[in-house]
Amino acid sequence: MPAVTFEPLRWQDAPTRVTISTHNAHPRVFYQVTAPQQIAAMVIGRPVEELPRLVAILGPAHHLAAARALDRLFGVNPPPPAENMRQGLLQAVIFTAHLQKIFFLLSAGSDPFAGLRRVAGAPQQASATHGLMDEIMHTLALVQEAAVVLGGRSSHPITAIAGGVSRYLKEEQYLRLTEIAETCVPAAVRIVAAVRDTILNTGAAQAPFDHDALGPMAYLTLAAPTAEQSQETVRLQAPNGETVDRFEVRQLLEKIDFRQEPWTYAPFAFIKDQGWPGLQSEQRPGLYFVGPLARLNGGQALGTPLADQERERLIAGRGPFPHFDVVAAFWVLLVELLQSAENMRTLYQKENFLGPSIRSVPVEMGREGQAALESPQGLIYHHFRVNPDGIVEAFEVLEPVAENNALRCLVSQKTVENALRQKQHWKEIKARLELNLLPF
Amino acid sequence: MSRKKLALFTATGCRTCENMVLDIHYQVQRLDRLFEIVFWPYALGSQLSDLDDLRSIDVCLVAGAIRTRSDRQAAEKLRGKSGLLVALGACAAFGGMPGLVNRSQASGNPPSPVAVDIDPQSEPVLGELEPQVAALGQTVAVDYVIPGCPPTQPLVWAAIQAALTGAGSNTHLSFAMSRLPKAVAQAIASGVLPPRGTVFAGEKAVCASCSRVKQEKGFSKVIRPFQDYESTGRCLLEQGLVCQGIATREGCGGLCTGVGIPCRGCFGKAEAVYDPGAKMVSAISSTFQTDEPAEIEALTAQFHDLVGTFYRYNLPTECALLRPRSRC
Amino acid sequence: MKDFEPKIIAFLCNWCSYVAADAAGVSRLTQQPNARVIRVFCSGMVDPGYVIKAFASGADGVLVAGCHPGDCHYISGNRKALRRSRLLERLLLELGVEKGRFRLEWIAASESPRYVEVINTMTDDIRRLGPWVTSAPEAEAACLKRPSDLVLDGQRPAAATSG
Repeated sequence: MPAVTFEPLRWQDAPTRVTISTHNAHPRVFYQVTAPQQIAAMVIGRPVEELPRLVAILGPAHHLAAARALDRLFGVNPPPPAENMRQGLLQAVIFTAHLQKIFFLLSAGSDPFAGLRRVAGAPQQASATHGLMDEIMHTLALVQEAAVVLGGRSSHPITAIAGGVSRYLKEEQYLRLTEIAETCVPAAVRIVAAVRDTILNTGAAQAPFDHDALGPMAYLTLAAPTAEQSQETVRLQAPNGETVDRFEVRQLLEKIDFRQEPWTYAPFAFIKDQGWPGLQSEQRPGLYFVGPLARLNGGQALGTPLADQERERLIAGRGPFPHFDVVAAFWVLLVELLQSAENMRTLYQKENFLGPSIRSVPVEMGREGQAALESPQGLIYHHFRVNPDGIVEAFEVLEPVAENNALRCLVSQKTVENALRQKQHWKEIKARLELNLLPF
Repeated sequence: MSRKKLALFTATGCRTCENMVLDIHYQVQRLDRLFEIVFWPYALGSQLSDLDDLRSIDVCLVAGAIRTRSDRQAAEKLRGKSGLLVALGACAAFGGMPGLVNRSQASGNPPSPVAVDIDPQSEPVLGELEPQVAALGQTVAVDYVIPGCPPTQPLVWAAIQAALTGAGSNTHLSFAMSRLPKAVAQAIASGVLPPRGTVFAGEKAVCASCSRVKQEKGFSKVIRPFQDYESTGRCLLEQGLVCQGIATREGCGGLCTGVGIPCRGCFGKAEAVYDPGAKMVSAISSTFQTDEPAEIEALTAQFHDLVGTFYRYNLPTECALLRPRSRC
Repeated sequence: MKDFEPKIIAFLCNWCSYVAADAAGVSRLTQQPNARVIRVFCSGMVDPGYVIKAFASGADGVLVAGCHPGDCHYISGNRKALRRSRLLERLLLELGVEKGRFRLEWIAASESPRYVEVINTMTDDIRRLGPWVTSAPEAEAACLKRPSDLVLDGQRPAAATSG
């Protein structure tokens, strides 16, 4: 099959390539994950308490989801200080994940090391963004330090265990966390303003984004407990925002099924009772996506003032939610950046991490564990079964690699089609594609 | 002084090792002054096809295990062009957690998808998988190894500085220097290349850096980490937990044990250990508080998944009975 | 096809089992010739790593024989061997070394007939089990270099450091 390939794609976590078949008038674009993940093969046969460490390779949020699933297996609830430490880690993880994407955005089109003060596509005075990259890197380092304090190790956290966390923090760490939180809120405000004003809110010319890249698509989010529902629930919304389905977390794998295509190792998650609709259009029922854009489309109040204000600015600039375009996808990263910074400022107070215990020690073990969590990239869900010795017999994970697979395929298809119509060169098409995929 | 040419690549693995290099606080800018980065798909968008046009690379950091045919080909190309090839992280160094897949494949667990239905005229074919997951050093000759899952920043930076030669020492290196073998630390400080095959970590076991208190007492009951135990203070192995620090190369500073989590061996086996599983059998059973055969039997029955625990990060390379028989 | 002859490595302690083996020879007791003896000073000094190395080097079976509990020349060495043996057996089993290939036996200096019986039984058992073969594949030609094999800088090919 005559084709052009971009291999690998920049900024993608999984090993990916895009193959564009060129032998007829309508090029078909394949977003391919080129190696299998095989996490189940790695964890089946392992003692169940090892899961939080094992799945940390999928991402730090998975470490927390696995610990939560262990809590369910053993029927224990972490004491408040432990829950706060876990939540504190999650907020740091969200902050750094989103900020790294902003860092990549600002380095697009140039070597991030050589061109630290150049911002892609914006005809701005150098002074406007003069210290921006420095501030971004400095803030990233600070919040990563917080993640190490709370998680024990950088990037692959280890401290969340069944029933809580493994140890109290040290005295000097409380002070440091408070210091970090106090610094990252104003830093986030400055970074958000700079990025918004120089790239996202510049009016008609939205280069280098193609904001027609994604059409309306259903979306899935984890809804917090409410007055009516004391449990967390999963909410599926149609592109117009209407709630199509609402169900308990433990029903996720009854509602979601997976489709395997032979040209990519990543499966496609889809809504089981709609059936697999194929990849012709995102508006076919059955497809859905997850992530910050899905969360904000969901319309829940953010709960923190600066983030809420930024959301209002987004609405003023782009219209009311729901949104499905790339500019909005980047902008919601800014909103959640502020939200996580504000959450950190609330959480990182010494009294939140102190208490008579940081672990509810399990007394008995069930046969099944599961948990869902909103990771930076979107909803994740773990489900496992164990034998009477506590060895993992079955393991399933639902994560954005599969849930946003269709979205990435469709974005790739549309971006390449539009770019070819505009007679762009392959190099420009690749750069445009990578930018369009970056925020998802 | 002209800059050396640096390349970074991940075969099959997570992005953490590459992010480690990006994350080295403030050193990233310094990196740019010292190196010209000629190939870095993740951060710069370099393409695999660019490798054919690259004339030479001075230092190449490769992370991830060799899982696909394409990984192997990339590793071979990078080896051919590189003066120094460095295995970055446990996957490249030892096979890493993906190595566990070899074990499950043995019990009949092939990865999906099955490519039989593909129509090569209209759909792109996925590359083939290698029959086993392998470490970088089982595919091509490797000059330096930076172990860890993920590696720790001081050691990554020490390796980068070492590869630079002539750049001189740096105060940020002091922690790394204190844990590296003397000869390696001196080489870095003098601006000389450390010997090929250097592992950027210590030689002793993690116990040498672990801050926990050893009391030379045994245990009579096995504890699994979800049960109650002293998470600070006493040695974890002595309490009855499986902690692999005793068989594992030091260099991390006892990160996990420091926060109450037993070591799982992500730095690979310590220099003097022949087989980490054997060493752990010896260490654990030496800490049994009994000589009665029935009690020994009862204690032994409480351990599970020995292979998956003792060789979690290094099954393809450091398990004496399961690594490929070498012809060299 | 040649009949399979098991290779058994026997770690015999100097004070008891080695004496028994020697006496078995002097007494001309008939035994199968499949054991290669390694004399050690105590069964307690047989590190599990030696056992694994023996299998990795081509042994089909490994015997560790020491004094009866209470009779150890070093008081408690044999108890250490006992403590290790069960966990080692479990590890070997998980690595594909079937039960029966590794044995820990107590053989006193005067028990030469027992020594012979152990050797003969073990050889027969392992002959039935067949040769021990690792499930790992053979490595390819471009394999890893170990530190001891490596040469210092200066012998690298063309893609050299530019300076």
